Amino acid sequence: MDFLTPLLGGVALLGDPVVWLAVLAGTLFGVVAGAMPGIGTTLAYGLVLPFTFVMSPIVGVAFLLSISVGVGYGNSIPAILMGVPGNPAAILTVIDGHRLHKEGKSGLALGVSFVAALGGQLVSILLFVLLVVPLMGAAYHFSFPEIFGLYCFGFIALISLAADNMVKGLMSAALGISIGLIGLDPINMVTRLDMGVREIRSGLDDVALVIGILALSELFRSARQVFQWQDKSGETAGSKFPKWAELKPAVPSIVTGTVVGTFVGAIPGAGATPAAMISYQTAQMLSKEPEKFGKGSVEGIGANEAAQNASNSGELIPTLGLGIPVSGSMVLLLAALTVQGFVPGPLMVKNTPELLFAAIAGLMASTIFLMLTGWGMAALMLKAVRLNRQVVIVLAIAMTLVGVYSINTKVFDVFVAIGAGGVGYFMLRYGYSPAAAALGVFIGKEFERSLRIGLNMNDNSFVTFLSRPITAIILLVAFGVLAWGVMKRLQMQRRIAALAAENGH
Amino acid sequence: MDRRIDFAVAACFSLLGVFMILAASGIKSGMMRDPIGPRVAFYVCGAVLALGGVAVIVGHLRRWSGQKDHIVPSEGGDDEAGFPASAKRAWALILAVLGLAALWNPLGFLIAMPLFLVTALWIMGERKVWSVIMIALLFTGIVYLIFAHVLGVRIPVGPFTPLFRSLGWIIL
Repeated sequence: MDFLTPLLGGVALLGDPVVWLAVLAGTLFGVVAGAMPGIGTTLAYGLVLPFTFVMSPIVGVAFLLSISVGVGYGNSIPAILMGVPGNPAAILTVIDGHRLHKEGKSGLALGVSFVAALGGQLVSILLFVLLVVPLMGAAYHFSFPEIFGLYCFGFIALISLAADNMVKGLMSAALGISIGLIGLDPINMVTRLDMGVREIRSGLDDVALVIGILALSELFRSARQVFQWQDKSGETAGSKFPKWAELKPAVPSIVTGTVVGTFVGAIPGAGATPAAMISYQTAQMLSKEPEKFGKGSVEGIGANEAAQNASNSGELIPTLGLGIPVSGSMVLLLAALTVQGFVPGPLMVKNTPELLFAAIAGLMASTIFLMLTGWGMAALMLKAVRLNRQVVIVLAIAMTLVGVYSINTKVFDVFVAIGAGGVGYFMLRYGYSPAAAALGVFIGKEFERSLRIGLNMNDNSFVTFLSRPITAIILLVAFGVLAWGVMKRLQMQRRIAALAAENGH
Repeated sequence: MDRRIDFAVAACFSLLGVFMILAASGIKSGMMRDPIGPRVAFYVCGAVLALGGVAVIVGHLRRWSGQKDHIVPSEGGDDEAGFPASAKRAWALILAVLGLAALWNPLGFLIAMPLFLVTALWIMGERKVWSVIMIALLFTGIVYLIFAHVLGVRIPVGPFTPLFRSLGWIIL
């Protein structure tokens, strides 16, 4: 496949009104969800996942990705207007954006964030296609040992998602992997750890588990407090879209942020936060006014927002190119495709390029839609902030449970999701990473399967298995990325701590 | 913040790890043999949980004894500053959710869901009776219509089953 085919395929899908309808619904939902503090892409995916089961895979993928774009745009609102970072990546938007808001320049902060988010998103789609096509070309050379190597890459994401305490992160991953492995052994088909319970002889439902761990846990944690989001909001009236002269200084940092965001987003486990941090630092180094960073810099907002949104496309590179989900929301995207009958792996998109076209169509259409209507939707986002927080939490829990039930119409799955949500709540409260556990549920099974079947195919010899050229190269790169990731992670933790101490967040 | 409960959580993980290793030792080997076998993954995960739990406890004890007033900062997600947090509210909500799941089949969605919503909103401090009831009924009705009639999901309706069947809304 050449570079233009996926782009043209994506554009061709935009002729389908059903795709547009799904994209419009997804983008609107994403913007509203993103505007509510604490509701990120993962939780938003969890809420609407059941609707994708009745959509065609193409429409479902476009729908989910349009939500990511909407959330990416919408989540700058609480960061700028309330000083509440909905996710760790938004801390830097708070620092510069909320400062501008306090100075009465809400329109400038929101305008730069709008342009950066959409500009970053649109350009990163081209970079995504440029990087994913070569990966797809390599897919036919992959057998079980090579796929095992790729899952080792996935395990890097587990370690990177390990929150602040590496030991607790590894424990979270081990918990997720072992829960995911309950059920039938991939070689002998003997049952494992089913405890004599008939319902779990063939394993627990992955989607119910992942929704419980990622979405319900966060909702249970939110229920600890009662307040209204608008209590934290400031005066927002009279915000006008800034003039070109005011936006112009942010353009170079938006370009830098887009490139950094796409590449860093593609690294397993890296995601939006390191992308935003690296982009912010790069923009500060290249800026003519580095002293303004942290004190209401439009370049800072541009770099951060562009990188966060570009990382959406970056995360899709390993997810669709190799079948390795690299974040909580990507786990849910693959879960949705699994329910549709797709088998995650390097051949998934190779055999069904329409999924890639759908991803491109979803990202493009939602970005275009937001470009045309996004600024006008600011009023809608401000209304979302005024919704009753307690009612939203309760209805979101109810919606999630109905969604889980609708997967297999089994109440047992609802119990599984609630149990996983309760465990996830504990994990969130005590510093264990639910994202690492969810990723463990999803990739542990395939990791073990590809290792054991791969060994069987290679005369049960570890030497033959590991010395296959592509496997060896992937494993070497994986270990290299792991070492680099651990080093960068330690640096980033120090930087976040310093920034938080400086700004009192 | 003094987080002694971290010990209990780490100990639970550790015990779970030990249990997993013991339970895995009872897994049958099966006919086909491979160098890894069906138990190893559970042994590894169990060991990570057991040893990790011990490491967390030991690390915590060290930091605890080294800190003034034996205070150890929290490693978990913080609550929003300036608003009181209640673990009891979260647990009450989890119990209400479990109640919904338990009543899903016997009472049916159309009765169990509004009951859950009213209870959950009450737990969350909503005291406007009529608006709570309206939210519960509207949400239940809309969700039922979308899932049962648009998406074709088979949702139990408990005592309404004969009525809905006679109306032709339920075929089976």
